[in-house]
Amino acid sequence: MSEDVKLSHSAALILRTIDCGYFYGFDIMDVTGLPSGTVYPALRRLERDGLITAKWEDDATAIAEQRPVRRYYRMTRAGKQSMVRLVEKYPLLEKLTPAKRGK
Amino acid sequence: MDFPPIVLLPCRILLSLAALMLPQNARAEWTGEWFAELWCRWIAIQELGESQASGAWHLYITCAGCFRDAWWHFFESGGIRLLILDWVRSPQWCVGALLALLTGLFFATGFLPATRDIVSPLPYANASTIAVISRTGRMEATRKGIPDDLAWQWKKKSRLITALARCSFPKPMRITALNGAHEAVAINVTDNFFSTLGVKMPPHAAHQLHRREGVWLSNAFWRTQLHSARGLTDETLTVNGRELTIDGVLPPGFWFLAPTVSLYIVDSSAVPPQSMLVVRCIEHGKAGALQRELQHVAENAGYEFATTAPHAMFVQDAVKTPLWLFIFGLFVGVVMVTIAHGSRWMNCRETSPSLRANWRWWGFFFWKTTLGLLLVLLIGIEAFVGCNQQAISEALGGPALIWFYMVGCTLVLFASISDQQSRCRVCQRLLGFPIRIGCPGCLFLDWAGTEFLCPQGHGVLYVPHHVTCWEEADRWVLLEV
Repeated sequence: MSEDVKLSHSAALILRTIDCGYFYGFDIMDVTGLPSGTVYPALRRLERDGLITAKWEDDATAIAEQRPVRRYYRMTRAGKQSMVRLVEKYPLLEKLTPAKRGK
Repeated sequence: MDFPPIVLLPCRILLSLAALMLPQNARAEWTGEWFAELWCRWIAIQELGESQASGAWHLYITCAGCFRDAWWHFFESGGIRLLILDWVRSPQWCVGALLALLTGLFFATGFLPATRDIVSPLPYANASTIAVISRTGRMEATRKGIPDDLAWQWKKKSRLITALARCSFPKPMRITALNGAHEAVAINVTDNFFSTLGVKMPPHAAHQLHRREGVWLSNAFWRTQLHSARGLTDETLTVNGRELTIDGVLPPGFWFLAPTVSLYIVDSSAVPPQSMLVVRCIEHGKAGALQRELQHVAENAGYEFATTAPHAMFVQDAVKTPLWLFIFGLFVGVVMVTIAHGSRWMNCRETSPSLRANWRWWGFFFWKTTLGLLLVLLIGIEAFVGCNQQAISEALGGPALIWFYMVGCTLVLFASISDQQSRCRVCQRLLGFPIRIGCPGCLFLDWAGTEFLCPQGHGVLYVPHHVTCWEEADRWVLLEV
C-alpha cells in the first residue's frame, strides 16, 4: 500500500517528526510549527494509509506523570519504507526536522 | 487523575460541537484524544510560567483546529454524500424543489404580471358592465371587425348598450421617443374610449383624457422603455413615422385587451372602418342577450350576416377564462388518471401503520400535487396570456391554453401518483436499493420481481415482473405447414 501513497510536504514533515521520536499530536505541532487543523487531519491520513499506527498509552504512565492518558503515534514498517523514499524526494526534510530523541 | 481545570471548559464545548460531525461510535475516542492533548498543553503552560490569559487564548486557538479535523472525518466517512442522498430522497426535498420552481417563476417573470392583472380588480369604473364586441366566423374562431355604420345603428337602437367606443385590433408598431426607437404593441381608439371605460385617473391628469387626438402610454412602457422620464406630456412621439403628441401616462395597473398593449393612440379617423367595439352595458347584462339584441337590430337595419355572427364578451368574464380552462384541464386529468389507475393506487395505504403516518402520507401527496398544479396554472397564464397581444379578444389564451392545461394537469397527476407509489409508506422517502429476485423463466413466474428497500429500514416493497409473452423470443413456435 505504501508504494502508491503520495504525500504532501507537510505530511512528509509530520512523518519525519514521528520518525524522530515525537509521538504526540501537540509535540508534532511544536516541532513542525504547523497548526492543529493541519497536523491532525494529516495524522488521520497517514494512519488510514497504514504509514503510522495510533495507540492509547498505559494508565500507569499517565498517573505517574500526573496527566491524562494520551494517544501516541508510531511508524509502521510501511511508514519507514516510505520515509526512505521521502528523504530522497525531499532532500531538505532532514535539515528541517530536529535530531532524533529517545523515548 | 484530578478533574480538568475550569479553563478547559470552553475547549470541551468546542470539542462537543465539532464531534457532531463524527459518527456516534467514534466521538468518545476522538474527543478524548483532543482533550488529553489540550490538558497536557495547559499543564506545560503552567510549568513554563506563561500568563494564564495568553496561555488560555493560545489554547483556544489551538483547539479551534478540531473543527478541521472533525470535518476531515465527516468528509472521509462519506457523510456529505450520504447526507445529500438522504435529503434528495426525502419528501421535504420534493416539496422544496417545487417551491423553488415557483419562486424561480415568480422572479423570472417579474413578479407574475399577467397573473396579477387577472386576479386584481379591473381598472375600469363598474367593470362588470364593460364588453368587447367583434364578429366571429360560424366555422372558424378568427375575430373580425364590426362595420362602422352598423356600430352606430347599435349605439342608437340598442336598449342594453349605454355607451360605445371603437378600437382597432392590437398590432406592433415602430415607436421613436426620447432619441430611442422601440417596438411596441399599440391600438387606435376613438376619443370617447377612456370615458366609455371609465378610467380612474389622478385629478391633475383627468382633463387630458378628453383630448381628441394624442397618445397615451401604458405605465409599464413608460417605466421600462422610457425609464420613467418626467415631463413627457405634450412632447412628440413618432409612431410608424407619424408624429403624435403624448397626452400622458396611464395609471399603474391599467390594461385593456392584453397586458402587452403599450400605446393607446386617440384618433377617431385612424380607427379602421371595421373595428372592435368597446361597449358599456346596463347592469346585469348577459352576453347571450346582448348578442341576440345586436343580431336583431342588425337585421332590422337591413344588415345581413352571411358567414359571421356578432360576438360579445364581457371583459370581467373573459379575464377569468384561464381559471375555467384550468379547471377543465384538471377535470380531464382526473378522468385520465381514473381510467388508467382506477382506485388501485390507493391500495398501498392498507399497510398504513398508524393514523399519523396516514396523515403524513395524504398531506405530502396533497401539497406535492397542489404545488405542481399551481406551477402549471401560473406557467399557462404567464406564457399564453402574458405574451398574447389579443388576449381578451382571443378568450385569453385560446385553444393552446386548453391543450396546455389538459396535458399539464394530466402529467402532474400521473407524476405525483407515480412518485407516491415509489415512496416508503411510513417516512415517505423514496425507496432505493433495488434487488432483483427470481427470474422470469422459473416455474413460479409471479415470484420473479424487484424489491425496493426503505433507506430508513421501515419496509420493503415487492414489485412483481409481469413479462408479456410476446416479448420473449422462445414463446414463438414455428409450425411446419
